[in-house]
Amino acid sequence: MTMSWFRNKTPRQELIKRLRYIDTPSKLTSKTNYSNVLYGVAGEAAASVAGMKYEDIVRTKVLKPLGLHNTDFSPLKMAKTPNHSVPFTSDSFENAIEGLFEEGPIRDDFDAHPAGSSLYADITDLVNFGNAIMNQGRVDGKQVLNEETINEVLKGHSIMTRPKRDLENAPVLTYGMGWMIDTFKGQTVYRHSKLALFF
Amino acid sequence: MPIASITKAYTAVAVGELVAEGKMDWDKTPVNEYLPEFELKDPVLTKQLTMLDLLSHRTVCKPLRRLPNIMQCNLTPPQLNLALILYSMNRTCLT
Repeated sequence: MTMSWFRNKTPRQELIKRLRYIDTPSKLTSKTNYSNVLYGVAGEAAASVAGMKYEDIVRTKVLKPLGLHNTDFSPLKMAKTPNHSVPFTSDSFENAIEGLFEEGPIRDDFDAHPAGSSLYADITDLVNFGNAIMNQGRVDGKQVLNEETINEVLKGHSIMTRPKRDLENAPVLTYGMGWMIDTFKGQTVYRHSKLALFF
Repeated sequence: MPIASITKAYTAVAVGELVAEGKMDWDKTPVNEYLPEFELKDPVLTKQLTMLDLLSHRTVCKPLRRLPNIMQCNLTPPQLNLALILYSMNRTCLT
């Protein structure tokens, strides 16, 4: 189940039903235990309540109100935009060191749980989303997203520790909801990491 | 470009809009009431988990007992890339 969401065509509802068979510790924790699968569960819970697909909730509640027209769940749709990114790979370490990379195809990729990992966006949309969050949900002075929601997602709800101490960062950061609340040289930083193969 | 895990921020805001509409709440109603097919092995934990717990990663995972030494497996870079993801996850569940 560890990577059950990764490039898996099993229906998400089926994967959720299988969770009951996993041997998990019977407690909640204040420490962050990163889970894509449980984001998938959250997405499906929202879908169940809203009576629409998870993807459509994001489209109607977030993307459309913010005018993020170049953000969606399809890599093939992304590939039709003029200035899209493309994946690269190398078939050996020697070639990689020499800078010899081959462009790979943009595949109709899929993750079983899109709520944790499956959006595609261009830089402008990404910046506009970030600005809306940093402006408490306001765009051009107009309240587009709920202000309390933004305050809630940016509060620290679980604790992450830094594996190595350094002078520029505090030894502890927190995870809000979809955001890491970090410090850098005494300033608060709201950020999130991402990992996409070959991009 | 794929924004991968940054998607989580959009999911949290989308859920937040449903909270603002009064259709869900962050930390009172168990997720199991919204989605009855979601159960964990422990029925008590199933009845405790809220949307806030899921969206802020507050569940517990068991670490693997022993990690393989993948650097000695002579993998190609793409294979190693994937192996490193699995390696770094270091979990037996729910990741």
